[in-house]
Amino acid sequence: MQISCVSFVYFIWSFFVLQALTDLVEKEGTAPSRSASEVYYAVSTLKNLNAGFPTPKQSEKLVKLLQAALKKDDSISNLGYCLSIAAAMGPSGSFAFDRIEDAIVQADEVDGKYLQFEGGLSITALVISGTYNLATSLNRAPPLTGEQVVKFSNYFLSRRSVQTPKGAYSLLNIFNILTNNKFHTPVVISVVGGGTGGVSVDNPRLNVRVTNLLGENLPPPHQPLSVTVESATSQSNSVVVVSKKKFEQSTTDKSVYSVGLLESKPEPGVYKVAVNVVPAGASGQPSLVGNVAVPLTVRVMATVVPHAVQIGTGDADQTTQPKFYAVNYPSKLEQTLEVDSLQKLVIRFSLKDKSSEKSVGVHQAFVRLSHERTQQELIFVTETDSSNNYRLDLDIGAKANDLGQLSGLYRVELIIGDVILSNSLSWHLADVKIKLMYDSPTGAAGSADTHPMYRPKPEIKLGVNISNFPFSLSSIGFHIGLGGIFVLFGMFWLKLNMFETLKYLLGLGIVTFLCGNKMLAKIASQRAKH
Amino acid sequence: MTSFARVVSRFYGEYTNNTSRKLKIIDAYLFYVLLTGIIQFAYCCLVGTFPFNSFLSGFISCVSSFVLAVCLRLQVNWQNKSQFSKISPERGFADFIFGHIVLHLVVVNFIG
Repeated sequence: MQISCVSFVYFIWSFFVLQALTDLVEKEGTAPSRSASEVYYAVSTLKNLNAGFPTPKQSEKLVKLLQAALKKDDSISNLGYCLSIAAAMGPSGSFAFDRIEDAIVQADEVDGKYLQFEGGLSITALVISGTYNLATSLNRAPPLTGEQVVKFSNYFLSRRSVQTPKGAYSLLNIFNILTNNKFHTPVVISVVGGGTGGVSVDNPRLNVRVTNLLGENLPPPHQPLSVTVESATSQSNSVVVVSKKKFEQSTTDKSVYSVGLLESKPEPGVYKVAVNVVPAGASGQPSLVGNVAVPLTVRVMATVVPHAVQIGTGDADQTTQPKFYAVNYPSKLEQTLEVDSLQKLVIRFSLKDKSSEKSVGVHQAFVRLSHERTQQELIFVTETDSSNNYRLDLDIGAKANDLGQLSGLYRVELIIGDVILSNSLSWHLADVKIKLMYDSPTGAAGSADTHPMYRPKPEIKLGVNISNFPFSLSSIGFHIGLGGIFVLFGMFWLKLNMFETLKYLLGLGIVTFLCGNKMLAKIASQRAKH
Repeated sequence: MTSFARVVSRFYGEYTNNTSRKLKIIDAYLFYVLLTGIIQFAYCCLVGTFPFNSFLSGFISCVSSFVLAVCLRLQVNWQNKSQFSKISPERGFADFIFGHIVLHLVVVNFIG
């Protein structure tokens, strides 16, 4: 029952298709010709129906028909269909072989990495599959360079996430053709673990997987393979750290090869590793493409340790040296620092590579202050100098608004990060008690700012701060002496004459000078001590 | 105009944040001296120079005080350390006091 049904369908199909093909051939040159795609599907169908197709007579007519169609419209999709039709015609399709080059030169290059035809995946896949099918049927190598094949393969691989059924068909079809033809076999070298591979002291080997486009191990004619590092070059200073080094094949997975990159102790950073894959045996086939100097991006990771970390407080006006406390990673400073709005919080540190003991610079070095109660956070960027010493000078008074005028206990955390770090860290290094001048009553900067009218106006108050006054004989003597001199000047104005004034001034002046000298020397020595 | 306003607000912000408190006090003193000088000059223009020696001594006092204070400010400014490396802020202050004693001896002598 089923068989008769299928036969019936075949019968109907062949009837219509034969009719269509006859129509096409008969109306050649006169009527508006059918599109090349229609001819392609008609020919494919006839070929599948009838092993004897096409007869020499039919071929002759088809060749004429196709040449006429190409003369009229040699768009890239028409060329693609013609190549596929020619591939289905056997030896008589050789007329189309010369058109392959016409088609390939129309490909657009993108980023120097991809080759594609206008019209996207389906058209590109059509032309390339037609090219290889025709080449296979005629047993002639297609006029494509290895580089072009690699660029087309790159394009197809970039479309892996295609969503439509038509796209999926085109993609899988072309991958199969590129994998199983005998002219070109693109090689895919990928870093195991995905993305940009990272090698570090804990994991010093670079693992790569060598496969065909479908992700399968390369078939036996190409095996065994010799996989080598042509060179590994630093991207920052172009220093070559490894060259001509052989990969070892993994014992568990035959498509995986690994090599150690850290023997020469390269600087941490991003490296460009060029990999060669060639068949090791003498019988190796030369059909591999994209196998020489394949660039891989590899990161050599560093493990850093914060070194010489000092945190301290000092006067904001920079008249005195700040007082520092040393902190050792990863412990926390035992005492809680106190800092007010006239002072600054200062942090100094450097970062050392754990293995080489050299100081390194990183992309991200931040200090985060977070309030203990509200969890409000502020992040500050540290400054660095040429020898990778990091510093942060935080004038608390100037940052009072950023802190939301919120006094209290803050956590101080050091955040270090970089793509080349295997141990990016966030370290709680100290607690600091910040005392601001106008403490926010609500404790939240946002609410205080949205109701500015309810905030008490800062009082205008003038006063003398004598808390720092040094009550020593010299300072009292100096101030009394200075006051005495001005009183003397007043007396001079009112009743004394010049000679009397100078007489008294001499006595007062000597006392004031001696006291002043002593007082200022004391202040200077105190300042120097800090 | 907006850019001018931006320049002014930037200048103000930089001044409030990056100038030390001691320098701000000196600036306030300078402003006070300047104001006193302007008032004396305006009085002289509007009313007359009758006790001319008094006007002169008062005005000279203002100008010289201003100059002395500017000198002090230059010497104690941390950013000018390279130029005044031999002069500590205390030495600058002592010079300032000495300058004032001599100055005011002359001023009081002149005041009449």
